[in-house]
Amino acid sequence: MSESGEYRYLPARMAERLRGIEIGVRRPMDGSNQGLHRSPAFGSSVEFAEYREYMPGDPISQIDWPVYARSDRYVIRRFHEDVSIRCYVLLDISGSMGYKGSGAMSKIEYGSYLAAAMLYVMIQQSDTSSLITFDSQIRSHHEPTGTFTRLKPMLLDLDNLTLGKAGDIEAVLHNAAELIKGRALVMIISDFLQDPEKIIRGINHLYHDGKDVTLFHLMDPTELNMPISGLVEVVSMEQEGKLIVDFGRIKESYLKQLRLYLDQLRTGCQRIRADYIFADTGMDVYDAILQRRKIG
Amino acid sequence: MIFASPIFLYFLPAAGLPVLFHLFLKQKKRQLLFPTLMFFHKTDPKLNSRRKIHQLLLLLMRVLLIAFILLALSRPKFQSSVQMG
Repeated sequence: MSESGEYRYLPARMAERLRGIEIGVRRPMDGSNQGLHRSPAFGSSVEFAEYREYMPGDPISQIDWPVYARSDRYVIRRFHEDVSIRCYVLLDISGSMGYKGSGAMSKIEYGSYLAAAMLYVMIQQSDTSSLITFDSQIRSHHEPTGTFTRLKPMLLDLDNLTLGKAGDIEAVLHNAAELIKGRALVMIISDFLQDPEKIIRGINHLYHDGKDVTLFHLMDPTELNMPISGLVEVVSMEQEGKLIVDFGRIKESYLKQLRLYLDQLRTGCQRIRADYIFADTGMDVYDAILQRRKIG
Repeated sequence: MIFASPIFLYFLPAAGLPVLFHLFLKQKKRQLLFPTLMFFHKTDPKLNSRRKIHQLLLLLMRVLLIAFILLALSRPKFQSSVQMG
């Protein structure tokens, strides 16, 4: 692998297109104070976030003097833009992610492109990134990093992914809430093939821990449209076993159940203020990313 | 009961052929890898068992059909002192 080596999931062309992208959060974050490192272009909205006890090394200019006058306490005012965002990208590597129907690529490949892009963008805007892969539990976990050098092992990991077995998203989200300390940005890239109520429970846990959560829901066009016909023995990629299915007869109710499930998941996310972005694998990865970028 | 053409009775085991075909056909079923059975289970709690019952009834019909055809061909006669020419 050469120094300026191309990584499969972050081709140079993609990196070019990502340079203009900025990702924001709606909730206050716990991170190191990197206000001085931010370029003037960032931080244009000076939203007040909180007061924090003054610590040696903090910029004196941020001390709130009226507070000192009232209470003899040195506190600094923290703005959303001052605090670096710790971004954790959770990538689903369970069996079902290996599926490729009529989409341009398998869900895991699509997810890897998406993950690589997100990790890159966050570092590029002076925040930190961490890659976590999971199926029924967390399988790999990188320490958050703000440098492109430490991004490389994560990109390498994506290149060398092996599919896991059955998934359990809820359990993993609960684990992640314990594992990730404090308020951070959590992006979950998955096909979310589980009972929506369970998924929402897991996301709720993250939300109550102060995390800002984004879902990238990936599906293949074949899963969405069900163009398959005939009598077929269906073998589950999530280790649910086999089932003989008459696709001609089942299409209508399959599609109905699918819509119900998608609606349930989407509205559940709205309720708990998690960003929900749906992407089918026929879509350009860049377009999915655009849906998450900061507006304004 | 007397059979005028008993030779057809020897073909009765052929009534078992549909059963053999049914078992054979099972092995040739098309398999497909699919991400999840989630949406099939939800729509299909009864469809699967109903299908199985249909299959069994169909099988039974075929077996009986062959058996009855053969029995008819063998021209059974009930006890009668007069033989028809």
